Amino acid sequence: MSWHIGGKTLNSRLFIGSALYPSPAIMQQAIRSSGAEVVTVSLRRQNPSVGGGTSFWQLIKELQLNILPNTAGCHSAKEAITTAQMAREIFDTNWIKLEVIGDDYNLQPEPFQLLEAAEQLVKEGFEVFPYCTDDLVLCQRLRDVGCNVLMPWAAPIGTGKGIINPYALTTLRERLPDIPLIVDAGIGLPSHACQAMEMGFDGILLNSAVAQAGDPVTMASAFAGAIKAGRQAYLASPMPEKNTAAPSTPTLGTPFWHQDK
Amino acid sequence: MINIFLNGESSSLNKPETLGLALMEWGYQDGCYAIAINETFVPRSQYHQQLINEGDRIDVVSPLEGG
Repeated sequence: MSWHIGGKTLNSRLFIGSALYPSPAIMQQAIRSSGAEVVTVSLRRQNPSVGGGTSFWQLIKELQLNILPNTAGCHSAKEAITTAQMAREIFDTNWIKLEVIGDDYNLQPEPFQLLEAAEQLVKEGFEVFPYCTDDLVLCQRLRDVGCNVLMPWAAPIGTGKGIINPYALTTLRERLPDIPLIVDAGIGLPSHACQAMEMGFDGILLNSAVAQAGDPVTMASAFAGAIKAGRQAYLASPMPEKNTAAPSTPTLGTPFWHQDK
Repeated sequence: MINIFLNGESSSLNKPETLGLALMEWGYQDGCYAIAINETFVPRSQYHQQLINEGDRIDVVSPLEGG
């Protein structure tokens, strides 16, 4: 079933990164295997003597997917805004995955600079996909300054821990029912992604979980299946959880039952 | 002599010139890159008007893998 985000219609709910694969060829195969229609890329300094990122960019263009450039590595609103402006010129898109890092130990977003950058970039016509923590008030403020999608983390980037604070993410979903929420970062297993989708999240952005798997191509396919399963389960309204057992087999007519028991 | 930083490393130009000419001198062809000077984006349309000044910090970036 298709869905809409950032002015585009997508069929897949998986956004995939392009980093850390064993080889460029495996990157291409894994991205294709994932069925993702959005791929994230970065900008880095180019030395003309080594050709910069030309060959990488050719491989990505061959995939014919939507490009979501990131501002990875930025530590201030100023750096992130400038990176977004450069990305818009190179990639010819107003989409930007806005990352402003506040702590290098866990790569936790810097909420104040993130908000400042988001507000400015929205004014400049960007479709801002902010990578943020699961803090409800921050997410509300990002929505208030014009973000049409939010990307809270499940866990710090590259940890593969899965959803470390289900309460916070559940709260986000409940309190922000009308804005697309994509869980970004910290996913390690297809079951993590499935869990997030079962909770009602609209999509998953991941990279390391596929790229650093022993077999990235097969893992990409596994994530595609898990995300579809989780979405279907959410739409199917899961049964309520109970604390006491309830037999599923009818008790009426149970053999060997006697009234004097 | 104009002393500048190109992608974080010390560099120099023999005389004041535009960004467009300097890029050719440094070997950047009409490739896929974007530029910031002193952390401010310089649109491609301005390369031949933008003068490089003493101490400028010039970043030339290209697409690369990212998550």
